[in-house]
Amino acid sequence: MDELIKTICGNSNEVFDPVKIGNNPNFVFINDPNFETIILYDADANIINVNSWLECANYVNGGWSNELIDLFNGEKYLFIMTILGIVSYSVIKYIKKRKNKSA
Amino acid sequence: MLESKKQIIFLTYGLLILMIVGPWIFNGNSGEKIPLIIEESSIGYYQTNTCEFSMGDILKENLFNREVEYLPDLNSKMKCHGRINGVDSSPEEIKVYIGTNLNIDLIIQSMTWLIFLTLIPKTKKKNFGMSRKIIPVGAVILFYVHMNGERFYYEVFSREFDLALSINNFFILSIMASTFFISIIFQDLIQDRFYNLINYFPYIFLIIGAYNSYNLNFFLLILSIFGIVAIIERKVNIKFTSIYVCLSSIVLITFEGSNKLFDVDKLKGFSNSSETISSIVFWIVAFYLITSGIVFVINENLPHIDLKLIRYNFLMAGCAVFIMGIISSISPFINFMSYYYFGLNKLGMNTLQSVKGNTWRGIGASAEALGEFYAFCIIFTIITSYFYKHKITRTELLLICLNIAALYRTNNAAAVISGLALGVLYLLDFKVQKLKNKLLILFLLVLTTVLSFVQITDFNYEYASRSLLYEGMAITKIDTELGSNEIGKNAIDNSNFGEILLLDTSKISSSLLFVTKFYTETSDIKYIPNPVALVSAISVPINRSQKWGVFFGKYNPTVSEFLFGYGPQQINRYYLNFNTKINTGLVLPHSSVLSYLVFFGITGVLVFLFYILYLLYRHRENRVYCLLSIFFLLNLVKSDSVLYLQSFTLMVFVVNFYKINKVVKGDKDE
Repeated sequence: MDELIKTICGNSNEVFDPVKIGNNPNFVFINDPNFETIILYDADANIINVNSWLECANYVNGGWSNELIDLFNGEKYLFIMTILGIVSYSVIKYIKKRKNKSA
Repeated sequence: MLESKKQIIFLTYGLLILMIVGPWIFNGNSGEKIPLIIEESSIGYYQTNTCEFSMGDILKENLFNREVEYLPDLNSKMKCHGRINGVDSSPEEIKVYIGTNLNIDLIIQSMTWLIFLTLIPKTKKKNFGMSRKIIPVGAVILFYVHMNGERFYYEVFSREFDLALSINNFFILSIMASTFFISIIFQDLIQDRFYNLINYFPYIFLIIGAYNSYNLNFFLLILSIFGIVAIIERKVNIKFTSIYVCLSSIVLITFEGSNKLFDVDKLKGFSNSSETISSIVFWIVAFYLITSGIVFVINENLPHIDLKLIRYNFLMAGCAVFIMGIISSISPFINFMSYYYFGLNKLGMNTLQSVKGNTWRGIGASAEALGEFYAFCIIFTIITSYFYKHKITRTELLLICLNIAALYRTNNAAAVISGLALGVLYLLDFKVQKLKNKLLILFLLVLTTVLSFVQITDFNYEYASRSLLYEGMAITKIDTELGSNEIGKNAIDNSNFGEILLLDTSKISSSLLFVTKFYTETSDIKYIPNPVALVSAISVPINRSQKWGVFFGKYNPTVSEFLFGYGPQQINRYYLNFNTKINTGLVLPHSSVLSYLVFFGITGVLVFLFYILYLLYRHRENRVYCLLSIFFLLNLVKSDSVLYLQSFTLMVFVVNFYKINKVVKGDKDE
C-alpha cells in the first residue's frame, strides 16, 4: 500500500496513520498550497480532488485511484466485435456458397 | 487453388489461436514496471501492482517457479483478464490469482473447444433442415434461462451482472451475441462431422468443457442442441418423455424456492447451484434434452460406428488424460492452462503424490470416476477384441499398459475387483453349460470370498450391521440432548438407537429416522438379516459406511420428495435444507443410486432399475452388452460418477450399447 501511495501521491515526510484519522470523526485535512491537486476515482467512478498529501494517502488507502479503470466498458467493445464477427462470418459463408454454386 | 486453400486454413487457425492465447500474453504492462520472481519478498510488490502484469510478463521470470500456484480470479474486470490480480502467501505455496472475466471466458473457451471439434475427421453431411434456424436462438434462450435461474451464483463474483434486456446493457448483450455466434459456428462445423461423433466421444474425458466462470458445460449446451434437433425431427422416445414429464410436473408443483446458494465446486457445469423456479425449470429441460440428445446421436450414428476406432479412441483418451495429469502436476503454469483450456471442473493436482497416500486424480475432478473410466477402457478393449475378433494391435497393447498404470494411480479397487469378477462371470458362463451348475459354482465362489474376507480382515458383523446408523446419528445435532454413561459414552457411541428414538426426533432426518425405526422396531426373521443391517454390513468392506451414513443423516425428504425427488441435478436441496454437523465442504452421497434417489425419488430409481433389468433380460444373449452394463452399473452403486457429465454420457452409451452391438454383428454376418 505504501508503494501505491507513493506512486499516486508522491513522496512526503509526513507520516500517514490511518488509525489516527479513522478514530477521529472530526479530523480535517488541511490544504497544502505546495501540493498539486490530484483527482482520484472510486470503483463507482465518483470523483474527488485531494489537496494535500495526507488527504491523498487517506483516500488511496481507502481504495481510490488516479485511474478511472471502470469507465472502460469492455462489454460494449466485446459486443461490437462479436457482432462484427457474426456479420463477417455470414458474409464469408454467403460468398463461399455462391462460389460453390457457380462452380 | 489448393495451395491458397491451405494458406487460408493456416491463417484462420493462426488467427484463432492468437485470439485465444492473446489475452494472457499481450495484455501486459507498458514496460514501466519490471516483473519480479514471485517469492515471499515480492508478494507486496505484486499486491500493490494489481492488474499490472500479464501472465506472459511474469512467466519470463517464473516459468519454472514451483513455489507458486496459479488460480483464477473470477471477480476480474474485462481489462484485467489474463493479468495478475492478486498474490497471497500460504503455508504450502504462493497463490497467484489470474484475472478471468465472465464475458471473455465464454468466447475464448468456446472457440478453443470448437477448434478441438474440428479435429474430428469429416464424414458425409448431416442435414439439420429446419433445426438450423432454431439452434442459435434455442442456445441463446437456454443460456439466458440458466443465468436468470442461477443469478445468485453469478452475483457473488460478477459486479456487472445484470440480466435486464435493454439496449444499454452490454453485459447481457455481449453474452447473447457470443452464444449466438458460437452456435452458428458450431452447427456449421458439426454438420460435416456429425456421423463421427460417437467414434470420437471418448475424448470428452480429456476436454471436459466446463466454463471457468459459468456453472455450465460446453457439451451440455451441445447435447441440449442435439436434444432440440431430436424433438424437431420427432426422434425422441415417447415412453421416456411421458414418464419424465409426469415426474417433472409433480416436482414443479411441489417445489418450494429459497435464496440458498450451493457451492457446486467440482460438480461445476452439471449441478444446480440455486433453488429458484427458473433454475429448476432449466435443469429439468436440460436433463431431458441432454439424454434425448445423446440417444439421438447414438441412433443417428449407428451405421457409421467403427468399434475398432472407438476402442482405440477410448485407450488414447485414457492415456491422454493420464499424461496430461502428469504434465500439469509438474508445472504450475501448465496446470492453470490445462484447467482453463480443457475446461476442468477444478484445477488438476499439482503433485505426483497421492492424496494422503490414497488416490491421485491428475486433471480429473474425481479419482473414482476417472478410475472407472480407465477400467472401462481396458475392459471394453478386451471384451470387444475377444467377442468381435478384433485383434489388439501393439500400439493398443502399449496404451492398455498406460491405462493400467493410470488405474493403479487412481487406486479404484472397486473398479479392479468388479473387472475381475466380470472375468470370473464370463468364464463361468462360457465353461459351464447347465444353469444349475452355474448357480451352484457362483454361490460357492461368493461364499468362499465372503468367508475369506471375514477371516482376513477380522470383520465384525455386529459392528458392521450398525455402522451405517451410527455414522448417520453421529452427524445429527441430537447428541447434546443425550446423557452419557459412567465412561462418558452416549447412546450414539453405544449404538443404542432405541434410546435415541425415545427423544425428540425432529433433529433426525426423515430418512435416518425411517431406517433406524426399521432396524430397531422390525421383528427379525430367523436366518434372514435385517435389510438395513445387511446394507450396513456390505457398506463397511467397500468403505462406504461413513459416506452412506452421512447421506441418511442429511437426506430429509417429505413423502412427495421421497417418491418423486427434488428434480434433476438438485443436490442443493438435499445438501442445504437439513441442518446437521456437516453443512460445509462438498460431501456427496457416494452412490449414483442415492444421487438419483435425491433427483428422481424412489419412483425414478425403480423405473430406471426395471428398465435396465428389462434391457439386460431382453438382450441376455448379447454377452458384450451384458458384461459392459453389469460392470458399469456395479461401479455406479458405490460411486458418484453420474454427477459428472462425462460419466453420465458414458452411462447412456453403455445402456444403449445393444444397438451398436446389433449393427456390428450385422456387419460381421454380412
